[in-house]
Amino acid sequence: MAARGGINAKGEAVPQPVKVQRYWPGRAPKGVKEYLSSEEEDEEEQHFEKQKETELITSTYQIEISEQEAASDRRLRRLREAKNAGHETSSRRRRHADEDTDEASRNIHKSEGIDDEDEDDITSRRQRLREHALEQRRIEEEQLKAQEEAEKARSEEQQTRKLLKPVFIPRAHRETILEKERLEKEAEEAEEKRLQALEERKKESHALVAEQIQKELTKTVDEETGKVEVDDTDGLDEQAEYEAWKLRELKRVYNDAEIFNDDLLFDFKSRENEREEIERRRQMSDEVRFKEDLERARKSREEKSKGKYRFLQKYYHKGAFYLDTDDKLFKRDYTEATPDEAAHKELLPKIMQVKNFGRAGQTKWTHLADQDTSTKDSPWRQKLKRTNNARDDIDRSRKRRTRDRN
Amino acid sequence: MANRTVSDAIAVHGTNPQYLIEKIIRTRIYESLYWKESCFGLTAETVIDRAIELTSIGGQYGNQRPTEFLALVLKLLQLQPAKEIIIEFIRQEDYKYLRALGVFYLRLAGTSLEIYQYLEPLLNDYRKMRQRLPSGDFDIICMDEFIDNLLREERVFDTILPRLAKRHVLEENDELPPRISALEDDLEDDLPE
Repeated sequence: MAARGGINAKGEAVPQPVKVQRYWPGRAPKGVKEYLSSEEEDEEEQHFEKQKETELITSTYQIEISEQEAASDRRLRRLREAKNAGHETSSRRRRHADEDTDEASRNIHKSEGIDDEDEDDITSRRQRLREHALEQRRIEEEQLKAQEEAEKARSEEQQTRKLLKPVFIPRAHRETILEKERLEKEAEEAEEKRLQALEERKKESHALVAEQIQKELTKTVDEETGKVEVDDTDGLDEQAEYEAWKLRELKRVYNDAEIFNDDLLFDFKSRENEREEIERRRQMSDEVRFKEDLERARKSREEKSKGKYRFLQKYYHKGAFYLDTDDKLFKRDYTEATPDEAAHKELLPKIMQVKNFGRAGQTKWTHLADQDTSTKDSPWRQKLKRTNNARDDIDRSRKRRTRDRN
Repeated sequence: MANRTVSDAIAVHGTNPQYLIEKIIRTRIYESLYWKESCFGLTAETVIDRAIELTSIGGQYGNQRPTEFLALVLKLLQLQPAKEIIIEFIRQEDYKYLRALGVFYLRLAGTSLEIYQYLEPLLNDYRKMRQRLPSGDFDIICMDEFIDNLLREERVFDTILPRLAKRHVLEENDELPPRISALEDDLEDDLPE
């Protein structure tokens, strides 16, 4: 919008401010209208004209300000002035409407001008467009027709194919089922066969391993013993086996009969004897029995040989256990001198006649009998002789005590 | 199952039956391969299969390894089968090692009277058995010798046998008839000659 001047009520020229083009949201900017197509433009123009008229009507009815009012009120006066100044109003909305009407009117003028000039041109263009549209429609129709025909042909083809009559086949005669069953059966059999083979193979390998182990076992036994394996099969020589048993059995019977054959302690030959002996001893008086016990003890002591000990020979105790076994080890004479003690120690110098001579454990003792203090002439056996002095001492202390008491 | 004695076991000689095998040997058995492999989950019935497979009797051998026989004895002690079963073990004649097993078990767990009753008749059984010696060698021992050992010895196969009442004591109490040897007739025949 170009700058333009105006004349106020007093006839003075008032410069109008330059109207800056402003963008309003939702409203098309100025320049766009010029490019609108002619037909639309026409419609737009008509619309605008209608709007303008209404705007104008709505704007005219309100402002009726008298002179008196204007004189009394400054604001009213100013309003009147503004009204008089043509289309300029205080209302923003009014102003905008005004601008729009200005614009529209100008456009109308312009379009009217064009109509006048190129009416023939437009009609020819319209003709062209119409022809073009018709052409388009024809083409579309043709395409549609072709499609329909193709579909028709296809459906006809389907109808012409001959359909077989469905025949019912019972389940037992249906080939597919029979085939299926046969296949299943075959698969089952194959599986069974496979399992059986597997089982057999397992058994075979098991037997093989067992055999191997057995072989190894016997082998190790042989290696350990270094001789042929002991055979425990019976009845190889029945007679010999029986005879061996008979011998053992006889031994057992004999042993049972002489269960108390330990003649070291008792002179019993059998259980019968033992019972008799018990009875006999029960008849005795205590003194007689005691006497008999002593006698038996003395006898048994005499029976045991003390053995011959050499001078300074070491003593080894026989021990009390396992003496009833038939082992040779326990029947040895433990009183004999060991080989390293066999020397004649009585020939040695006096100083060497001690135990463990020259060793850390050497003692001054030779043997117990040498150190015997139990003889009658030993000093320990002598009666103590009281000296006079000692008696005097005792007497004196006694006298002192009695005197103190008194 | 593990190595526990069955829960309903009755104390034998006032103790857990398994304790009749000494602790150290028991432990060695528990650690032995035979115990773990072949004695797991056995019952009084399946023990028979193992006993039939036995090829020797004995205590410990080699590097103090317990024999399979001893392992089965321990198994029986653990299971504590009924007395009838053990007696059946002893009565049957087909498998001598099964009989030996039953005999040994009865000697450990039975009363003196039972032992004399069921063991003495076997003194007439002179079948040969393989015995594993402590050195690992094998030796032949006859059934009657084995029984005789059980009746006389205190210690057989590295196991302390429970005390056995003297035979004459039981005889005097009229609990046991005097033993009559199978050779008695022969002896009587021999005497007059």
